[in-house]
Amino acid sequence: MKKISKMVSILAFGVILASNAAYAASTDYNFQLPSTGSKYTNDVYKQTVSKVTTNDATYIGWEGSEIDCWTCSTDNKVLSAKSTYSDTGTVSMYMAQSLANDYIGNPVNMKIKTSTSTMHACNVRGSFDPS
Amino acid sequence: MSSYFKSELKRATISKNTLIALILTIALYFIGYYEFTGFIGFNVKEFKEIYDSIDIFIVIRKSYLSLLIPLIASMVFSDSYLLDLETGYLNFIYLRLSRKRYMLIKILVNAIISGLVIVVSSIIVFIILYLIFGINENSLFNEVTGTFSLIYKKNKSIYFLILIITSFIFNVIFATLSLGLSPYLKNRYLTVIASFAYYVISATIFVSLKLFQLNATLLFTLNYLSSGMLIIYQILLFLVGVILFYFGVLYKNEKNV
Repeated sequence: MKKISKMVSILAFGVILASNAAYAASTDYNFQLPSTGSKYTNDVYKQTVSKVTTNDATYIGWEGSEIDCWTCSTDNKVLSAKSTYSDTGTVSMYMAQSLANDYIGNPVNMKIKTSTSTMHACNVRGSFDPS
Repeated sequence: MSSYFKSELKRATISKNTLIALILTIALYFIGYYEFTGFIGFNVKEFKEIYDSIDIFIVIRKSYLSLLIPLIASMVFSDSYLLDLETGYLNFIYLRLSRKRYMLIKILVNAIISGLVIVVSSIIVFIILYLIFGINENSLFNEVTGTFSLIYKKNKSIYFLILIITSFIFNVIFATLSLGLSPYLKNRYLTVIASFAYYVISATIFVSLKLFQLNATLLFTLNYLSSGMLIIYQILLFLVGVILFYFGVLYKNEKNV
């Protein structure tokens, strides 16, 4: 009996740990973006009905570079309008409110790439928060 | 001189290339629009709370158009000197005009028509966007950075006008650069892609050499450059085009006429 309760408590602890990881509020990224093609962040669970997801850009490589980012589902569906930035700071990506409601508790990620007019690779760092 | 200027302007305005360039520019704006709004659940009513017509115009202008605009600028009339040369029309023109006047008219017409292509297509696209999204001075859009971004924060309508003017100047510069290279290249197709080649080289090789301020894409996207640097770079590139054309026509093809 003691063994079973010990196993149950270990299992419960493990589940709590795993869910904490999955429900982390944001995920950091550190990419070297190629001149063509895109990268995507780890999946993060959307926790609120907010239609604004944010990208806190902390570093952009070569000066004059422009970066596009947008929110995606795990099956690669585009969930927000594309946002473009060329400076560090918080970048907002807007979803439809109905979609934001539908995605509470679901994993999403952020796709990121150099913009059409940026024809070279570029290092970027920051964190993605789906809210 | 004025009658030749008028006839050249008319010839350029009603040409097939001008029409194609106009349609292509509008199409690239709409591809950008489709890409921007092509997410699940897009609806105009909700979108209008965040972006107005000027904001959307700013975004879609930086899409595929920002990549292909030097090609469009050059395809309008930049190969016209070679066409005059190939058809023998140049011999006839030189009977009536001095070479310097011919060059001046060629540069002016090429610049005006190429510049007008982007202005007219931009205004057509903006009118459509305005009818759908209107103007909202309090929109949540906050992606405007770089040259003239302070003007956007104070008055976005003036910023829109600046975008139209800089687009006009951009096309003038790249059309003139292609025209200037045409006497050396002696090939109409190479002429059309010549300034585009410079555009790509400036955005790749110059950047990798850390010559960030010489990245010609910044002349269109208006990122990073100070207004002073922007104007200096615009003037320099335009002068390079004019000087190349001047010496190219005067000395390069002398034996052909």
